[in-house]
Amino acid sequence: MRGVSAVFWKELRSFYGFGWMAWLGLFVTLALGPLLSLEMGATGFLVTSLWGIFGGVYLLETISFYYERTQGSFLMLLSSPLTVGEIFLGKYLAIFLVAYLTQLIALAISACVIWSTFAVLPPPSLLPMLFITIPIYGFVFMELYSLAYALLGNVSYLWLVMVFIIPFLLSPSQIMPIINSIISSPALPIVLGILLALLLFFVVSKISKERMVIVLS
Amino acid sequence: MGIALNLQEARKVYPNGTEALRGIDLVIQEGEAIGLIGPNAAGKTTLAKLVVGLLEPTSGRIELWGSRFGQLPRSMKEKIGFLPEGGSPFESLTVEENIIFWEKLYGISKIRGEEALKEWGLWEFRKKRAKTLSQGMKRRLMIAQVTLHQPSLLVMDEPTSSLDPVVRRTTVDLLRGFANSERTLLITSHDLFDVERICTRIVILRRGLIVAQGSMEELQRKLGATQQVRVETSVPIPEGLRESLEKRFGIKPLAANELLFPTGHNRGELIRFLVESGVDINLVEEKKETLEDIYIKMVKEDEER
Ligand SMILES: Nc1ncnc2c1ncn2[C@@H]1O[C@H](COP(=O)(O)OP(=O)(O)OP(=O)(O)O)[C@@H](O)[C@H]1O
Ligand SMILES: [Mg+2]
Repeated sequence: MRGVSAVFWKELRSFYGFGWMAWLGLFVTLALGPLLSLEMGATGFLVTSLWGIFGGVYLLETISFYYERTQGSFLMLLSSPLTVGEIFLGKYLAIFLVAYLTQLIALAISACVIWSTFAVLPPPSLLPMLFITIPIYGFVFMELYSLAYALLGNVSYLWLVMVFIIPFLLSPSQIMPIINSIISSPALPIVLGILLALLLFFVVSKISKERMVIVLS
Repeated sequence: MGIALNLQEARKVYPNGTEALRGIDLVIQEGEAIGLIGPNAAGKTTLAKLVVGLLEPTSGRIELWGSRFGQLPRSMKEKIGFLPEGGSPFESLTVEENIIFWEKLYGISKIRGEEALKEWGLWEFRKKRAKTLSQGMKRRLMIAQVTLHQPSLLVMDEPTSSLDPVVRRTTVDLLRGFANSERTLLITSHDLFDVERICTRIVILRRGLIVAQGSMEELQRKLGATQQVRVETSVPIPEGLRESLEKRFGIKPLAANELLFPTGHNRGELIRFLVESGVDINLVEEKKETLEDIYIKMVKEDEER
């Protein structure tokens, strides 16, 4: 646990210290929410939160990996007594925390925008999705990302995935039936999500240090 | 004292087919200071990474304190320190934060961290971000980090590269101190002078194989006792004397007033002979072969084969 909390602390600290480009990126992620909300009413509100967490996780994890790889500090982490699982868990928790806070701010802004434009508040039935389901899948996404990184050694493939996902996220007619079914019965997706997150973490922690060393060099 | 490190027939083939190590047998006792030298691409870095568990051997066995790396308990893994060749501190953290990370990781007191910062001349830079440091300062920070927890086994890949002369001396002194304790040290280096000063045993690696190893004296002996004595005379040695030198002692003068002969010879007899023949002597000195001489000879001989 000491190891995980050291990595968590270090990761948070380095977000604190990174440049304006990254913060601009995060800000754009934030601002996108309210803009979409204006277009699409309450659906936009959901899209916002999806965008917030996936976009935030994607961005922060990319930056974290990019810096550690180009600077060579990942090698220092790997040559410490930390296990691969601990390194990733520490990173995940920090990245997730920041991405989730980003999402909460985006949600608050979106709620204000919706309320002032349509004079309605999102229905309470959305809450489990916003506060449980989406964060869990955000975590799953983050695990998939680092797994792709460790296995392929190159995450540019992930852009391809994003190219397919983004139009889908932005298209209410496709996304609404799915969202409605998740809203009406939230338990199954939540349980599935948790199982998936645990399974992926198990797989991630089985990656050998050698694999990481060779991928990173 | 027990065995710290035991490599048996250790081989390493990288995924692209490069055979970096081709069967290494090496036993390192606790308290030894090993210097791993060899030309570029000899496999030094690969060997260092294998020892600290960053790579796994393709075949053969590597044991630390009697267990394979994977089987070592956490408490033993925390007794290892490794300075990688190309690594870097966390650049978006400050110098101080970098040290705090390792303090947290090993559960070390803040005071020890502050000591280390002062010891390595990093105290006044502690609020600076690591990415703004010069290459040598980064290297210092890394050395401070990997020695912070006072490891029992310290593996360093080219520890003295890119350090300025003063810090280089500090590092060499630190490592000598390390070498004199019961701790175990394994360093790779291209700086043979540093290796000679620090290490109790030298291992020469070439193309993934150990070509020679031993203490300085052993290596010198193995290469045919080339410790020599150099004699400088005040006047050129006359022709007649040259001939009798060759007949009696089997030595050919190096230059008009310079002689070089192996220490095996009776040096007193030779000097008396010269003086009695009316040749004054300016200087008698022992010429020890440095590690560099030995190394270059060794690698050249190897290439000729
Ligand atoms: N990740 C890798 N993938 C494939 N081959 C590698 C990898 N790392 C090293 N090698 C190869 O293994 C051999 C040994 O490399 P190594 O880095 O261990 O040499 P070295 O003795 O440390 O050299 P130097 O003095 O230049 O640091 C080289 O031929 C190198 O090209
Ligand atoms: Mg090397």
